[in-house]
Amino acid sequence: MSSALENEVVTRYLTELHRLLHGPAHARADVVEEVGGGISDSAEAFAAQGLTPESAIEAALADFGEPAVVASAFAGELAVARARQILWWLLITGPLVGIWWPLLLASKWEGFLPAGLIAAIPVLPLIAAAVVTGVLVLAASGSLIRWVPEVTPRQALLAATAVGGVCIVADTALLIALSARVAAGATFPPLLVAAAVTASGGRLFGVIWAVVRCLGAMRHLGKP
Amino acid sequence: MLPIRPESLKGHLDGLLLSVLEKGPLHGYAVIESIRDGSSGAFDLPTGTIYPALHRLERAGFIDSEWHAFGGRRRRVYELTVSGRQALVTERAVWLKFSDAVSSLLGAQT
Repeated sequence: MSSALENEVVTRYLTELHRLLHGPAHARADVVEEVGGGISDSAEAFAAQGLTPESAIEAALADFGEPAVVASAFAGELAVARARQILWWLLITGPLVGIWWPLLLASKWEGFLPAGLIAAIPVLPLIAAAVVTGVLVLAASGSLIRWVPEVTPRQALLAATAVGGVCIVADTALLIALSARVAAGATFPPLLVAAAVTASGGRLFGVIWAVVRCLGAMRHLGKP
Repeated sequence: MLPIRPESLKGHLDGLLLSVLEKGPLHGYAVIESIRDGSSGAFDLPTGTIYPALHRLERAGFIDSEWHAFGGRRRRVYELTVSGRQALVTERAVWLKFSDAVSSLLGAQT
């Protein structure tokens, strides 16, 4: 049975570990809880060998290693978790944002043919490349790694950053294109404009946050 | 006992983890103890390296995990999947081939 002092020692260790972990919040919380459980099990094992509760806790913490060492060991997995989280978010929001622009900018039915769509939305090939990249990286970082080469954590983060970058370029380009056409006197259905601008504008903020997170995660890869 | 450097296990850690889970579900620290006990102390891996390796195996679909309550505390318990059992068969075959090749080059007597 642990004393308040022993609990405080473990709590300080886990607080420091949480501070040094970098990744999605739920993943970091799970890591801290799992390591906390492991420390308790380790301390029980040492206590069963005859150590005092205080010495058992010290031995358990030494067994796990410094929080910086444990955090470094988890850096790769948390980086992949971050990259996958962001790629999934971008792939899911893609159609929710993208549906409005062809409706808005492709004014005739020919605009829904591939050539017409690309003429109306020149960034479309870039978006298509980003989608393919996102899907491939998700495959190469998930359960398909049994069959396809696995991406490294750094590669996963780079891909998420690149896909996010494409989304920033695409959303910005579409908003600029719409502004230019409105300035030139073109008129569009107000509701469609509102939907497209809100979707792209809103996602821009989210994507910028995501790219900043990816760049931050890359800095922490390989650092203790 | 000759010391075995942890880096010697790189490339084989997955097989070791799948192997200890073959007998049944275990939480993370129990996996660590199983490796120590099963190797008679020869493999005393840094505790911090085992958990990320288990997470990676779960990401690959070779093991599943669930949180279970044990005496008021939660433990993440890992269990081998069907794919994990198949992967273990492959790991054992690869290991036999590897160890035979190394043994014949090092001139080990059997």
